[in-house]
Amino acid sequence: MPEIRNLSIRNFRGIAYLDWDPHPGMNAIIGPGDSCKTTILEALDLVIGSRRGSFTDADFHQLNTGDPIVIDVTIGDLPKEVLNLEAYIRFLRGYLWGLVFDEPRDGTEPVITVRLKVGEDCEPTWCLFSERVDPADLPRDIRGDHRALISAQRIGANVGQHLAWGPRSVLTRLSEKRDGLAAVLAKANRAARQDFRIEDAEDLRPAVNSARTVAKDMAVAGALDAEAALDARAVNVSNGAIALHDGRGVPLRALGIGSSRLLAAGLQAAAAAAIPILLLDEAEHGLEPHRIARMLQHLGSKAECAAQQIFLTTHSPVVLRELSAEQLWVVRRSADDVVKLHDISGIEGAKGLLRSHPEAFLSPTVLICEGATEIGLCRGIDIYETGQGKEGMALYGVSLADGTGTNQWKTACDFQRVGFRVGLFRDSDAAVPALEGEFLQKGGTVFAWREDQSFEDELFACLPLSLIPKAIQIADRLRSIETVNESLGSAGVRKEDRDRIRTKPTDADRRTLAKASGGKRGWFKRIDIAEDLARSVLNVDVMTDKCSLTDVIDAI
Amino acid sequence: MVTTDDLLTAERGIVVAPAGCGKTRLLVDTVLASSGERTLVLTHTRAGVAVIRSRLADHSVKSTQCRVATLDNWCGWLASRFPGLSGYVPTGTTRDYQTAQFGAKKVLSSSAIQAAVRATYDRVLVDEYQDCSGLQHEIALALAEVVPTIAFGDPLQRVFDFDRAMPDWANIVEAYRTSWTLDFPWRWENAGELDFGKWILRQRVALEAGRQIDFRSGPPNVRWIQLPTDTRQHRQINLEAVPHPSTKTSVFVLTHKAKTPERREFARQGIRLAVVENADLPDLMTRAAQLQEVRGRSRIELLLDLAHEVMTGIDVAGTLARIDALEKGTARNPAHAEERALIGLAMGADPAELAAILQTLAKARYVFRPDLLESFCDAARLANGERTLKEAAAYVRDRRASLGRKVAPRAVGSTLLLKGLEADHTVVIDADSMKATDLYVAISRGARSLTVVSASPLLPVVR
Repeated sequence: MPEIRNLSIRNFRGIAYLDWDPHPGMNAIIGPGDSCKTTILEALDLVIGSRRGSFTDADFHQLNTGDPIVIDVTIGDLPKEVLNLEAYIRFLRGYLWGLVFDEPRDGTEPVITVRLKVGEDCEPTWCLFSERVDPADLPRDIRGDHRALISAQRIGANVGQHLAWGPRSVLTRLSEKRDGLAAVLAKANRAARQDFRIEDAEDLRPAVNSARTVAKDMAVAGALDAEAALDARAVNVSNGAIALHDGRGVPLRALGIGSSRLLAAGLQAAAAAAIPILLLDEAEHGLEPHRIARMLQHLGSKAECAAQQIFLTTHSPVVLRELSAEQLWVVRRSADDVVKLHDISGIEGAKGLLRSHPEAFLSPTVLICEGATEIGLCRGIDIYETGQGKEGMALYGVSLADGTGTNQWKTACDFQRVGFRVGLFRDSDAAVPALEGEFLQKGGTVFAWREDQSFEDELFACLPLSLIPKAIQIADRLRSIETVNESLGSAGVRKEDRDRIRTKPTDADRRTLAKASGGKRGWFKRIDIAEDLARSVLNVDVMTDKCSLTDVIDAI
Repeated sequence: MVTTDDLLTAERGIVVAPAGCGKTRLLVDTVLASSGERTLVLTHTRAGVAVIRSRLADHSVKSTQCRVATLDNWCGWLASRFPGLSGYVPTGTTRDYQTAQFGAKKVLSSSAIQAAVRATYDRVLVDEYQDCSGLQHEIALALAEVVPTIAFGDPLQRVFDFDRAMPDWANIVEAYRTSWTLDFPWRWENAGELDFGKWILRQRVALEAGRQIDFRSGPPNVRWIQLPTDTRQHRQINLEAVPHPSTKTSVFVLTHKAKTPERREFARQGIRLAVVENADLPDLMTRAAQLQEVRGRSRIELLLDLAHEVMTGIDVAGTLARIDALEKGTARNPAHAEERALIGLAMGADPAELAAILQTLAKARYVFRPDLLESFCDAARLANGERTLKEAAAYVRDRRASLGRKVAPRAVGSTLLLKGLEADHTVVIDADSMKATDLYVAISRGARSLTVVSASPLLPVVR
C-alpha cells in the first residue's frame, strides 16, 4: 500500500520548517499543546486528503505572505498506475534512508512528491513536484483516478459524513461500483414519487378540487384531471442522503461521538484497500479505554505489517499504552518554529516506560527516578504538597519515569535528546557514570543524596529520632513484621533490642537501621511504601540541613 | 508453428523471421491478443514505426495499450528524463543517439527504474532485431531482465549503409533462450505462388550455410539474364530486364547499395521508374541550403540544376543561354511562359516561387525523383518570414519520416532502401557485387517473379 515517506512543510501556520520521515503503519504524534500536531494532520489532509479549504493570510507562518506555503508529501510503495513511466516519468524520484533523490538511482525506492503551494494570492495549487521539471512549465497534477489510489481519509470532529454515502465518504469507497450510487439515488427518487398517494394527503383534496374547477372554467384541458403529486424537482435524494441507520430507523450519525468515530475508523480499516492513509484527530476522543484499545488494534497497532499508514494525534496515556515505541513521535517546536518529530524508540527503556509511565511522554518535563523508592518519594511529596494547597508537579508539567537503576543515565540523556526538560533523581550509592557530564552540560538537573550515601543512609541519618518509629511502622505494615525483623537480625540487631528500636531509637541505631532497611530487597523499594513514607513521615519541615531531600522538594 | 500464445507466455524469446513469413502480422497479433496489458514495441526506423502503428490503428488499438517507438527515440526519451543518471542532455537538433543509448542503459541499471519499467509495460517486443547494435542489444537485454521480451529478426536481412560491428547472431539467440523460426512463405502464398516462396526459403537456408544460389535452376518465376563481358551492352540489357510499364504491376529494381548515381541515371532512361530516396533526404537538405539565400541569375541556375536532378528534359546550359540572350535583347524568338517565369525568379526572393516554377516545369516532363521534388516543393511553400527554407526542409523531412515511406509502384533502389517492402516483380541488376545478405533481401521482395542480371549464375560470387 502507498505510504508517506516524507513530509516537508514550509511556512504553514505555526510551522516555519518541518522535514519528517514517518514510519509505515501507525504514527502517533504526541507533544505539548501548540506544538503543531494538528497542523501536521491538516497539512497531510490538504495535500493528499480532502484538498479542501480556502486560505487566508492567517495560514501563512507569522502572516508572512511573502514566502509561499509549500507542503510536499513524498509517497512510496506506489501502485502500478502511478509508477507508470509513460505517465509520470518526469516526476519519479528515489527515496532511501531518509533522503529523497530527485532521480531514482539504483537501490532507492521509487517515490513521487505531491506539492501544495499557496502564494501571495492565497490560491492553492496542487501539482506533482520534481526538480527536473522547470517550474516555469505548467504545473501538472496527478490524474484524478490515480490520486484516489494514494489518498488519505481524515476522521476529524465531523464523522457523520462517513456514515452516509457521500462524494468522499468511506462507504462510497466500499461500494463496489462508484457510479452505482447515482443509479440507486435515481431509483429512490422515482420510488418516492410513486409511493406518494393522494389518499395520504386528504388535506390537500379541497385545493386540488378547486384547481380542477378553475381549469374547467378556463377551458384548460390539460389540467382537468389535475392531481397532487411530488414534484420531481423538489424531491431530490442526493449525495449524502443515503446513510446508515440502525434497526429502528435512527440514523447512525445520532450515535455518540465515540461510537461514531469507532464505526468510522472501523470502516476505514475495512476500506484499507481503497484508502491507504488514514488521519485520525485525537484518537481517544469520546472513547473509553477499552474501546480505545479495541479501535487501535483494529487499525493495526499490533500488526506486523500494517495494511494502512495511520497518522493520529493523542493526549492519552491509554493510547500510548497500546502503542509501541516505534509508533510514537514526539513533536518539538523550537523558538524559531522549526518543528521536529522524534521517534521515541531511541529512548532507552521506552518500551517499559510506555507500559509503566506513559504519562512521561506526554509532559514537557520528565523526572527520571532511579527506582521505585525515588518514584514513591516524589509521589508522596507531591501528594502532600498538593494537599497543603501548594502547586503540584502536574501544574509544572512534570511527569515521573522509572529509570530502572543504572539505565537511568541513558534514559535521561535520550529524553533530553528528543527535547524534554529532564531531571534525574538518583541514589548516591552507585558510581556516577561519564554520561552525567553530558547530561548536565545539556541543561539536565540531577537530584541526589550526598556522596556515597544511599537513600536509606540518608533517611536514617537525617530523620529526627521521634519520626524513626513511624518509618519503621510503615515498613512493618506494608512489608510485614517478620520481614522487618529478619532484616534487622541480619543487620546485627538482637531479638531483645527490636522493640526498643521500634519505639525509642537512639542516634546509635541510625547506621544499623540504614543497613537493615537497605540492600537489594530494601524496605522502601516499592512505590507505594516509599510514597507512604514520603507522605506521612517526610512531610513536615523536619529535615535537617544535611538532608538533600529538601533540594528535591524545592525543585519540584 | 509459433503462436501468439507461445509469445504471450514466454519470459523471453526470439522469433527468427525470414522475409515474407508474416512477422509483422505475428507482432501485431501478439499486441492484439494481450488484451488489458501494455506493450512496448521497439523498432529501428520511423518507417517501421509507421507501419506497425497503422496496422494497430486498423484494429483500433489505443495508444495507452501499446507504445510504438524507435529504439533511439525511446532511449532518448528515457535518458533525457533522468539527466543525472544518464548524463544525457538533448542538444536539440543534432541528437547524439550514442550518448542517449549509453544514458538509457545507465538509467535501466537502477533498481527503482526497473520497478517503474515493470509497472509500465507488461511486455516488450523488439522488431528488426538484426539491426540492433551491440549497445542496443544490451539495452534490449536489460529490458528483458525486467519485463517479458520477445525479439523479432532475421540475420540474413542485415544490410547497412556502412559497415559496423554487429553482435554475433548466435549469441543473440542464446541470450533469448527460446527461439522460433517462421517457415511459411505468406507473401507468396497470398500471391498464389507458394512454390516460388518455398524456393526462396530454401535459398535462404543455402545462403545461411554459406552456399551459393544457382539462378539457372529456379522455378518458372525465376529468370536469369547473363551479362556479357562487353560492358557497353550492360545498360541496354539491364533496361530490357525491367517489365514494361504497361503491365500495371509493381516492380522493384534493386542494385548494390553503393551505386546511387547509377540508379538515378537508370531511372532517367524513361522506363517509368521512381528513385527511392534516403529516409533522411540528404539531397533535399543540400538543395534547400543552396537555394535559401541565393539571388539573381544564380537562383535561376540552381533551380534549373535541381529540376534537371529530378526530371527529364531539362537543358540547363541551353536554357541559361536563352535567358541571357532574352535579357540582352539578342534573342530571336520571344520568351515563352516558362522562360518568363524563370527570368522573374532572378528578381524575387520568395521561396514559394521556387515551388510554383518546379510544378510548372514538371507538367510537361517525366519526374523520376518524385519524392525529392514533392518534399522540396512542400518545404518551399512552408518557408516564410519565420521559417527559413532550410528549417522548413528539416520539418518536411521529419514529418515524412514519421508518416512512414510510401514507395512508388515502380521504383529503383538499393537493398537497404527497399528492405521490408514488397512488390510483384523484382529485378536485381548488378547482382555480382552483392553479399549474401544483400542478395537475400533483393530476391525476397517480389511475390510473383524474380529477374537476376549478372555475369555469374552462381551467387554470391566467391571472393
